[in-house]
Amino acid sequence: MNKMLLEVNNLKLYFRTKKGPVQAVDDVSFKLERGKTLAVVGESGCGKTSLSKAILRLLPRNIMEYSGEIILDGEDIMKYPEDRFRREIRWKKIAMVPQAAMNSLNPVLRILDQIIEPLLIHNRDMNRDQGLARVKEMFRIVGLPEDFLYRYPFELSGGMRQRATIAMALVTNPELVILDEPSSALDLLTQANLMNVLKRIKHEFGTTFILITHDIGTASELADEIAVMYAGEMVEKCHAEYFYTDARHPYSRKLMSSVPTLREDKELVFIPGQPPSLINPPTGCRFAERCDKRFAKCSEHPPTFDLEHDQQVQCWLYTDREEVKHA
Amino acid sequence: MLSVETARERAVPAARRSGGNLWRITKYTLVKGTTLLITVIIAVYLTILIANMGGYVDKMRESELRFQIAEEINQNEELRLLTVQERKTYEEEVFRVRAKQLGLDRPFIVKSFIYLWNGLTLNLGRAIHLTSDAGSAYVDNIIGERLAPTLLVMASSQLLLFFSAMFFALFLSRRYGSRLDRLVVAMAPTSAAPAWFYGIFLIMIFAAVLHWLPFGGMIDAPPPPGFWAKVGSIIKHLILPISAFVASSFWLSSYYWRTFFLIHSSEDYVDMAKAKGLTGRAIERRYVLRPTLPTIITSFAMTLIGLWTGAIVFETVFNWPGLGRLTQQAINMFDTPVIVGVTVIYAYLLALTLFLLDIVYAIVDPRVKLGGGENGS
Amino acid sequence: MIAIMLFSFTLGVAAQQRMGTWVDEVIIVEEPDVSTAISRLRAGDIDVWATTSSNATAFDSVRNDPALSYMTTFGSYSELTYNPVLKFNDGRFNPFGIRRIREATNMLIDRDYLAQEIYGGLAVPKYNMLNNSYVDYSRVVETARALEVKYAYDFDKAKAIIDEEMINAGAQLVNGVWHYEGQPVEIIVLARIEDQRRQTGDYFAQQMEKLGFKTTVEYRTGQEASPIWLLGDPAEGQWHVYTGGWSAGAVYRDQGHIFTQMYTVRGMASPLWLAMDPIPELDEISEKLYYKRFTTMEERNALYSRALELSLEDSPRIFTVDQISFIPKRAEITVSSDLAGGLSSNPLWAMTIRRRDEVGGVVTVGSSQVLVDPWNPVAGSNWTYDMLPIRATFDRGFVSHPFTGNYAPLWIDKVEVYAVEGLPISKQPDSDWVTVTFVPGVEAADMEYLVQNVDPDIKPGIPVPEDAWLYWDPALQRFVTVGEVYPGGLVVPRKSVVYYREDLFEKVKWHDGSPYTRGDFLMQLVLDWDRGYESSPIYDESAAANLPVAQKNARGWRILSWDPLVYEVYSTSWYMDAEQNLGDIFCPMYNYGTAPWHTLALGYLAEANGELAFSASKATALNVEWLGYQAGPSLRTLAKWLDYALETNFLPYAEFLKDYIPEEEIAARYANVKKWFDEKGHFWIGNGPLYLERAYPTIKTVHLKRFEDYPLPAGYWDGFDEPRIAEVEVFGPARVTAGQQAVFEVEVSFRGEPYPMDKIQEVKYIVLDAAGNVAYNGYGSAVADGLFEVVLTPEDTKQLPVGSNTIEVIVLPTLVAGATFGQHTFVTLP
Repeated sequence: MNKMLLEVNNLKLYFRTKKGPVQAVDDVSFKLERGKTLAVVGESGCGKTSLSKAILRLLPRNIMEYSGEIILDGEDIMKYPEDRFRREIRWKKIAMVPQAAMNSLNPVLRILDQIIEPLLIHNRDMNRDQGLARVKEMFRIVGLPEDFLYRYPFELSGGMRQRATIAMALVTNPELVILDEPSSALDLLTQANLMNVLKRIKHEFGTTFILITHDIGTASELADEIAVMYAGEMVEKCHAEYFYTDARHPYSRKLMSSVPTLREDKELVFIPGQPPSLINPPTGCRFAERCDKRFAKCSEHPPTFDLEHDQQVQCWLYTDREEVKHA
Repeated sequence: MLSVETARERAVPAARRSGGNLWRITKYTLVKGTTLLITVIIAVYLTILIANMGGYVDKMRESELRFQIAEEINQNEELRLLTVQERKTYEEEVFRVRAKQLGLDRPFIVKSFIYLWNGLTLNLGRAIHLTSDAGSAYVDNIIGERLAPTLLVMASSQLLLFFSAMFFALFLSRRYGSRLDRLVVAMAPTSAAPAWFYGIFLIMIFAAVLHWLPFGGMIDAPPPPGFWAKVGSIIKHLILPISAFVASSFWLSSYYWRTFFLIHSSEDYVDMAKAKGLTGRAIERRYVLRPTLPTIITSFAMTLIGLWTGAIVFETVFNWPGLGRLTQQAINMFDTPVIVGVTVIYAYLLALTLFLLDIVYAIVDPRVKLGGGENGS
Repeated sequence: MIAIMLFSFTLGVAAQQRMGTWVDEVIIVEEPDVSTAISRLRAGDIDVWATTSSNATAFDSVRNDPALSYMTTFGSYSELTYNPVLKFNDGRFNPFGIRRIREATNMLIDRDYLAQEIYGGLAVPKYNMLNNSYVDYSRVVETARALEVKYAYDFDKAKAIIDEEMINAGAQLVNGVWHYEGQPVEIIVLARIEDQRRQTGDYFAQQMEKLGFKTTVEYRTGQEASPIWLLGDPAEGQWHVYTGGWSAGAVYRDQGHIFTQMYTVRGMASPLWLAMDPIPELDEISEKLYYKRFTTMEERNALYSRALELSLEDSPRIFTVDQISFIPKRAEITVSSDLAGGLSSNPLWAMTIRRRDEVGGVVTVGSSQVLVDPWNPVAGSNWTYDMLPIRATFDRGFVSHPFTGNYAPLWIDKVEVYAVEGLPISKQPDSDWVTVTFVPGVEAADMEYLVQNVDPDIKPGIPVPEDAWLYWDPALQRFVTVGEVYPGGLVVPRKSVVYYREDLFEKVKWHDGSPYTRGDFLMQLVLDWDRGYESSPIYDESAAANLPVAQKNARGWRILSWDPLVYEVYSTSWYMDAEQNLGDIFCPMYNYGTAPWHTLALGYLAEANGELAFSASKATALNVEWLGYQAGPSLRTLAKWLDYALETNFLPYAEFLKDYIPEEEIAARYANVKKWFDEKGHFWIGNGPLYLERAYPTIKTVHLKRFEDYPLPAGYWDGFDEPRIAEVEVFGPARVTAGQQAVFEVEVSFRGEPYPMDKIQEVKYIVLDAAGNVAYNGYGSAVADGLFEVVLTPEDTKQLPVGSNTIEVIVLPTLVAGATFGQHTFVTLP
């Protein structure tokens, strides 16, 4: 078993639209160790969800470009043919808890049937009873009563559905689980509950998580690593503890300042302006327009610079550091 | 912190549910049944009124009858020798007898309610003018005779169309943007031409020019002896009508269902299913078809009901002994008992189907509860 | 030895004539649309389409296709009926209430335009109510032609007259629109939409607009229009003009009744008719013609001519066109078709239908509808679509000539007509089977039984023997005699003695093998009467209405000899054509088909027991099925009663009929029909050249087959396959000098062959002057077969107008009802 579970190199995902190509994921690279949690933060529309879809190869119909490397446990799964990917990767190695789980559950199937489904598909030799036992175990873990297994999704509240989706994601014991805004639609109490569940799972099973969120505060509970996405690019990546104190990219800094903290008396700053459109993004640094630290060089596209503590940042401010070369 | 117990509290206790169920279903049946019945009554009565032009038809009949009788008298040499008075008496007497047969001896409003009552109780009675193909005067025979041939051609055509279009559409919905998909979109407008239009062309090609298939009719004239020969002959005669029917609607139907499935394929849970690693087939079955089953069943049910009304021009083009033509004939001749018969059977079928559909929905879609009621929280 | 036997055998076979129809089978299938029918004809799917069509486009495609041909029929005509009320109830003024205006409208419409453009050539202009294919037209052709000239299309002339009359009536022309008492005069044209009458209505409206009348056209179907123009009160003024249409089912030989029907209040008991106010002279003449109060043809022709003139003067309706319909068929098919009614009203179609010179084979006939109503001979279906197959299944004693409308003998051998002197009865030169003898009339002692309307001038006539049978009496269970009902004696203007073929009972067979016997016609006679009596088990209200009329009209009949069958009938009605003065006892029931007595007995049993009914009205009253012998729900019931009849040897009216139908015959008959029913599955049995093999109701197919025991040879009716319409060419001098003789030669031929002299009834001529008026007329004379001449003597030519003249020769054959016209133009010099 590799220590490095996931290595993404130069991942690109472009959509074709009437107005032009949308460069949703534009040359993103990162690494993630087994058992760690990576939080991917950024504003709406920065490409976070597209990234998760790209990893699971859930491509839309209007796909224009999909390239790069996704090396999972040493193998580049980008190269896998569709059927192999379906059989070996989806839900077996990588699972997903999508954004707004409200509608992720099939309304006409019982919860049990939906959760047990991937189990039975990916494990031919498992019979229904064994599957049932496992599902019940999952429900215990996420903290849902067993009799809800026999209900239909509409009979569950939002929070319960979210938990059921998480149970579903875990039922096949995948190595990597991507959670896309798992608590954005939930109230605070439920959110907190959810985080607890995730922490428990992480602790019990050692599952690797990618947590996509725009809520940095919540991410802090779980994340080991933080990656910041802006306009389709990963502009900063560092260990969580350094991020909160020492974010390097001007955007990251701005993000941190906009989060209210309970005990500090902070003046909240907001970032003026809008992120650039992902169609025909600017050629230079994409944040330059809104950056108060910009200077002439920013009109050129900055490479990724390697900083201490495995921190990476894509900004001309660190031009004196070494560039990170990606394969 | 929310606990498991709270969650449990939210669920409705099972015991209370089932008792409430029975009462709810009974109430639903009664209310729905009554509503449908009232609708049927109104619809049938309106049909009677319209089919008789509010009673004007009786006047027309009377006028025609008098004309007919006068013509007969004029052409009958023997009657020339009557005095004017004698002739008038004769004419009146003949008129009286024939008027009685046509029901002209009673005012229309009275008759309308008799028709309504008879129709609702399915006591279809006798036709006024029409006789069945075999000569029966009874409406149930008149309609009954045509039922089997109508169902034969309509059922084969519609069912073939329904299932082939639907499965083709499912297939297409996974191939959005492909050449085949674009072909279907391009071909969809060809369904603007109705089945009978295609029929005319098919007949022209296959019957008039190539002499491969018959011009129309249900079976060879005279029918060949032997059961299997007859079956073969009927099948031969079914080829063109079914082809015309399917050809005219296939592209549009496929397009319709394909778009329908596309829309439903873009639901989140379908994406989820794909993410879970289900095969295309499995996704189709459980995540696309299952949730849309109510719509599909409704469509199917409506198709089934429509089967028996036939299609007038289609039957005329193919000289098929169908209910569509019968209905048209009845309307042209203002033959109220037959019109009422056809309408009321259709109305009952429709009402029954609607009633059953609600029950089917409740079975098929767990989100639907008979008689409304609270959904899950 | 064997060789000789074989040789004579084959000779014998060869010499054996084919009996019955040329074809082996006829299949009638449904084909509602003429265009599809033509496609099917081309493909050989059907051989002839028996329904007539007046679709001009379809006609063109048939004409232009060498694989197809057609037969034409006339039979319908169109007219414009006027509302004759001058002032409507609400005060509105109706110009059509003025006679001269109506008369002038004859010149307002261009009938050639209608015939060629609107009817696409499938029509001929019609000025009066005579179709120029009718015999009556030829009889009064001079007047008819003169009227055609007088009322020819002339818009200006019509306008002048109408303007004059409008002004006389007090109307004013304001801005080109007629106003009466300040209101614009508005005309409503009620136009039928089902055919070209729609365009005719539009056209007429246009012409009226040109005259200055604000005209609107209301479009209605027949059913919608009928209550308005027929039942409605014309004084309400809901319409001014209605596009009427009539049809003739057969070639009528005597159109004398038509004036009464069309022009007088006696025509119909409708408010419209009652509002008519004919010229008094026309009314008088109509009545005379209706009751045939004339003694010679000359007298009749004079009356008729005058009636024609007056009818156009009065014009409560004006005529537009005579429609021509066509029956398409494949070119190699020949079949006899009635000039008025087409195939279905022609009893000869079955015997004459044939594919080139083929013997045997199957012919498929398309018909717009098939198996419409149940078949039964008492009061069954009377749709022409049903009569098509039905007529092929039975014979009458005579047939109606499809081209002349006159009668020709079939099982009748000869007829002796006795008429009182003074009745204009005459026969065709080639009818040697009928003789006419005039006898002096005899007064009767007691006159009050006489129907009041018979011409008092005519001596009553021939006395009826006391023992002649009059009508059936159900209480007595026999026919009452003349002596019993009219003790004072009875006389009639006409009696006919009808001799049937000597081999009648030997030759005629019913389809189930039963020989024709006297029981067959006796049963029909009795049953027909019996239905009208309340005491009868098969009493029918609709027959009851008829009963008093029939009883009153009955004048007696006798069987002079049973075998050979000779039958004598006395009647108050008589026909100008001697051939039509016959009675046919061989087939008394023929309106809806005929049947042998034993199947009638089954129907009798069913109706008497309230399970079926012969007539639709009784079926409704009893709430049972209308009896159909050919297929359907009746068959089960009839089969049940057959078993009963077999067991009990049932004979209806046994008290009377037992003397005529022996027990063995009863048993044999039921046995035969049982066998028939077991094989064929139906009860329709006739005695004609085709029998019903099977009727398939739902798929609308009738399967007829050749009756092998039919006694007449195939080809019996050869000569009836197409109408021998004469072709006439007139030759003569280009210049004629007044006072000098002029001879014109008239060549009469058919398909290049000279027309036999004895087949030409008469040759007339009229001379038209330059303006088209009739200046002179006379008769031609026969010279040889195919050659006639018209000799104008010096006295004749002196009377001719100077200038361009046209001699029109009218040749009237005996083989077709319509005359052919030939013309030659010349110049008359002083």
